[in-house]
Amino acid sequence: MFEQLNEIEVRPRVPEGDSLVAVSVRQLSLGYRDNPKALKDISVDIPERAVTAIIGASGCGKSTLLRCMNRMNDLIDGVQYSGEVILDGLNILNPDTNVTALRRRVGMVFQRPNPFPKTVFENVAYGLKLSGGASTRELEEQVEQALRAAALWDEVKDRLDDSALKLSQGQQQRLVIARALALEPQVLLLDEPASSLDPTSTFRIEELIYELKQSHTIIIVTHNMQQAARVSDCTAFMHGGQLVEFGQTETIFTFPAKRETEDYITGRYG
Amino acid sequence: MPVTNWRHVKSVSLGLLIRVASFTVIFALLGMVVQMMVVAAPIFAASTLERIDAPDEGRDTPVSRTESRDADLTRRTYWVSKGGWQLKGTPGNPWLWVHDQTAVRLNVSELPSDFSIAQLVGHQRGLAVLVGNTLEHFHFSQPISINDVPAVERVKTVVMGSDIVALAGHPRLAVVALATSLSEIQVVDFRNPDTNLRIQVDVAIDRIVWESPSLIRALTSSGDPLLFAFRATDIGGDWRRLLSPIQYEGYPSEEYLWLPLPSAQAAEPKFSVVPLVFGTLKAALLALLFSAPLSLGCAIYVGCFVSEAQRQRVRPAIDMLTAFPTVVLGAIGLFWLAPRFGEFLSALIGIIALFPILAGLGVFVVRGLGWRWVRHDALDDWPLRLLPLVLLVIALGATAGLSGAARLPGGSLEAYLLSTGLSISYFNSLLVGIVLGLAITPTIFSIAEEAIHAVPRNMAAGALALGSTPWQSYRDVVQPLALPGMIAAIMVGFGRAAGETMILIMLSGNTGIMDLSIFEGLRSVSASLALELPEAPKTSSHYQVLFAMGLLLFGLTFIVNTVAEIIRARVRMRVRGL
Amino acid sequence: MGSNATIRRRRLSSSRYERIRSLAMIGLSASMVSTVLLIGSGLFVLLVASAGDWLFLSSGRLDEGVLDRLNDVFFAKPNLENGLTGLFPAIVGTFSLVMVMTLFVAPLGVATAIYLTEYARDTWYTKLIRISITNLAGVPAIIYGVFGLGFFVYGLGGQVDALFYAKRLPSPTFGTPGLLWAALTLALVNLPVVIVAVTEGLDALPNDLREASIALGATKSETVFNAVMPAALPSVFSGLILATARAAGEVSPLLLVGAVKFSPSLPLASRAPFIEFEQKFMHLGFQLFDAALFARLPPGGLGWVACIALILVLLIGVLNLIAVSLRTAILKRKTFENPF
Repeated sequence: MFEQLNEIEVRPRVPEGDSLVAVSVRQLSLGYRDNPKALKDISVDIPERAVTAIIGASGCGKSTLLRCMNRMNDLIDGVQYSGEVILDGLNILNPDTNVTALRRRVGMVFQRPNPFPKTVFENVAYGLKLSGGASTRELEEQVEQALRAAALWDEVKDRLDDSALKLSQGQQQRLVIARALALEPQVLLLDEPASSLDPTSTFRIEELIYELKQSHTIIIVTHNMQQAARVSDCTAFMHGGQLVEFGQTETIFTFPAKRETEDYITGRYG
Repeated sequence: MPVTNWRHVKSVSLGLLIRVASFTVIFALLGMVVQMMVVAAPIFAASTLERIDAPDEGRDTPVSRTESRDADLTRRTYWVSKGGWQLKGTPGNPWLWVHDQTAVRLNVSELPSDFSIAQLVGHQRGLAVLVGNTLEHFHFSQPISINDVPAVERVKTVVMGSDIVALAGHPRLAVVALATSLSEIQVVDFRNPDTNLRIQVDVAIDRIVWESPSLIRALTSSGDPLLFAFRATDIGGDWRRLLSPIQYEGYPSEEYLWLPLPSAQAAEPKFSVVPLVFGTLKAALLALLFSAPLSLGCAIYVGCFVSEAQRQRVRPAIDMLTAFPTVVLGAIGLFWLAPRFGEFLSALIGIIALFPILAGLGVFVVRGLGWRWVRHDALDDWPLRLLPLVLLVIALGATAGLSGAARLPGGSLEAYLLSTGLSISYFNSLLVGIVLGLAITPTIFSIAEEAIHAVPRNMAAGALALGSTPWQSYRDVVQPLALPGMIAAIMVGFGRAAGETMILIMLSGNTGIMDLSIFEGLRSVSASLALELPEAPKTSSHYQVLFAMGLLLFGLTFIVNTVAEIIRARVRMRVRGL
Repeated sequence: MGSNATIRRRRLSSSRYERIRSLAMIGLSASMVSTVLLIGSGLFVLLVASAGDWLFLSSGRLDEGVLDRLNDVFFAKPNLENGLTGLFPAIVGTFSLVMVMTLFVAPLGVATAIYLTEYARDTWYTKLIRISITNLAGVPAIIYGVFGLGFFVYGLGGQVDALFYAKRLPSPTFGTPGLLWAALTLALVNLPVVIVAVTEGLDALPNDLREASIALGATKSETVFNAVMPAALPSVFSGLILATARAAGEVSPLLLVGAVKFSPSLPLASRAPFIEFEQKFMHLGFQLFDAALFARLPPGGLGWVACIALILVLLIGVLNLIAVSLRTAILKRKTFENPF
């Protein structure tokens, strides 16, 4: 397993047809010192090249679930988990998994933009340089591609050598997305990406998501229901560490199957 | 209402009390510097010569007695006893050494025979000889063996502008007072001939005498004496002599020397600050060399790779080192390390030399145990898990080093090094560096760790999410931000090492030599202050020079600390904006 | 990203190397921690072993020898031959020094900190004073000793002698190193540390505390002493903890202003003020220094020296413990009682 994830082939894009499963979560339970039952027995299949939204009240475990997909939960003190998260037929929760390689296939964007205190170019190129061995021209091409994909190229193409911290909040967030996109990940995890942005930037991010889903699987955690409804194809509703309901967004928002889902959506609580 | 008035009064008086107390404190703390400057100030004063009014006196002054004893100086025979010989000289004739008992006579070729006046100076250590219009200063140096004749060598030559009619040698210093034919009184300090100390009078001078080390009496033809006060510091009135190389009496060349209390009777005191500053810097730099890898390594690990809970445990554990006051460390160094220093060094070399091999071995061992044993997610336990490995490395390396040393020609490291001609002191700089390095490690660790920990975790997490290894995220994201803080930590450590006294006194040998070799001893400013101040008379130049050195040390540490604090403040502001 | 389908073989084999390197570097830094902990415990073990060896094993018969030697350690009369002496006077001397010093440092340091945070306006010279005091905390202790010698011993002491003890001159009473000057000098050494600690504690308190008190009609001093200070007490103790450790362990200023090797009597008296301020006194750290350098020790000398060192380290530990427990006690009291 150690060896397998080392050499990765980027899979060819299969034309529209069967909706394949990108990530399959099976009976995932997770706990840590401050919260022994953060996730309880979750099973869900995330569809490929679509946007899946995870919604729920604060503290229900949305971010925790998201962070399982790229093993970022390992950073928490005393974390323990059971169950499986299957990507490409491999359980990434296995201790022998090459976590660094995993994180290049599953990218993440955090809630607050966290660009490195480096230039715009350096930020986007960071992940590429880790893999090593790219020539400067290749790097420049890949950086430009990533910035275009994040709809930021036009705004920064003359400022590539400026400090990334000089950009506005919205631009910084798109920069961080570009940084993740540069590695051409299979899956993109977005943890409340627009919650610290103004409405205009939020709108631009949502547009971006819509474009990106053609080529990436996107899982987005959001506390903003309207955003979930606008942006996602499928929605998962969580409550108290459990997955209450999962299905097509339209269905969830118009004819939810569970009472709790309906209560949340109609704003009766949370 | 009386109650409110009383409370108000109380508040005002308490406020007053607080103000008084704090002003006293602030005044005392800042006044420290002022007081030290006041004490040290005289050392920077130039020599002075000024005319003072003669007090009323009768005929029977000490001068008249001296006067009747001294006939015309230009025709006098001079002699001085030195180590069983007598030096005799008469103007116009060659000088001779005459042995007390055997009456053997030896020509003294170094001294000129065509002189007009000769005077002893400086506790009879030296001779000032007037040849024409040139003053020549000679110094007697100790003979090698008892019956050898003392050596005489010319130290300085000063050309005077006009004819000299009278000459008198200072009893203590290498200084002469003279009167010229143009009615000028001049004082020539052989240590610093460039000083221009002269006073014009309007009467002709017959004779000139040193009544006391600071009083000159000039006798005029009219009989009224003129008095002059002379003041000079022990460093010859030029503070730059504290810093420049000087050819002292009896030394073949210019040197930087600190010997304020020379062992030889009444030899010239030597005040050069340079060897002491050199010693301080040498010790501090060596200490940094040993301490930096240790403390920075700890700081990186604790600041970046460890969980909060563990950090609260490990930080105090490392701070336990501060439980040993520097006296204790010095004593341990003195009694345990110094006797075994050769073996310790061999062991250390063994460990360092073998380290790459042992590290590679460690990798294979771990690979055999499976990567699970050292997963990135179990970083908290590593110091404990690695402890057996560290002990193993130390044991293997030490044995390798010791057995390797035993195989060297001579049987041990010291013997081998001695045979190559290297001189090794029992108290050497390396010993000081090691113990001092240990003493400053907690300081550097504390500041550096704080700097590393201050970098937001968010940023490091961002790097991890892009697939970097924990070390890469530290190196690429955390370290650039924490680097100024780490540098500040090193600076503070340097300041502490420069100011440390006990370890230096106990382990440096306190030899005032300036040698780049790490196997030789050194003498630091702090040790000199501690050892010499209690004995220095409070009016002496020695005392003042010591205070000046105290100010120097104070200034050095103050500047270093201020720069470090500025760096840290800047970093704090930068990190806050992230 | 373009919609073209491409199969690209990414060169991720360097990842393996990076992982190993990451583990190695982290391992290296973790082993530094192991090394430091090893050295620390090693030093302690060395001291205990040497002291124990000297106490227990060097004597012929275990039981008798031990008690005798222990008695010697503390109460032996000064032995002019080998330069050793019992440590009890030194312990008393060290305690007295720490107590007198604390007497000076605590009120003065706290007063200055209060002034700087609560009373002084935030002008450039106030900032300058604060920065200066912070920097003074890093000045080597020997410098304070130099100042202490010049100002306290020769300066003040000389004046006091001239005014009050002229009859005893030229034999100096106060114009010579003694307990009072040593305590004052060490107080100066520790003032910056205490001031910084208390200032930080006071700065950390939220302003609401002060505003609430004023809004209730309290005067300035009442606010400071009844509202602010109780909340800042823990930081006062932190500062005093550091100060006591330094006072017991810092020997260099004492070489100039304080201690002696053999003192004929303890610096205590049976009548007020119970402490003889002008006396020279014995100090544990100084004893250690002196024994290490000047005593003619029997072979295997580390034993006696280790005893002194151990007692000194333990003394510092005890002083710290007292201060820490006082601080914890204060903290506990605050939780249950109204700090106002």
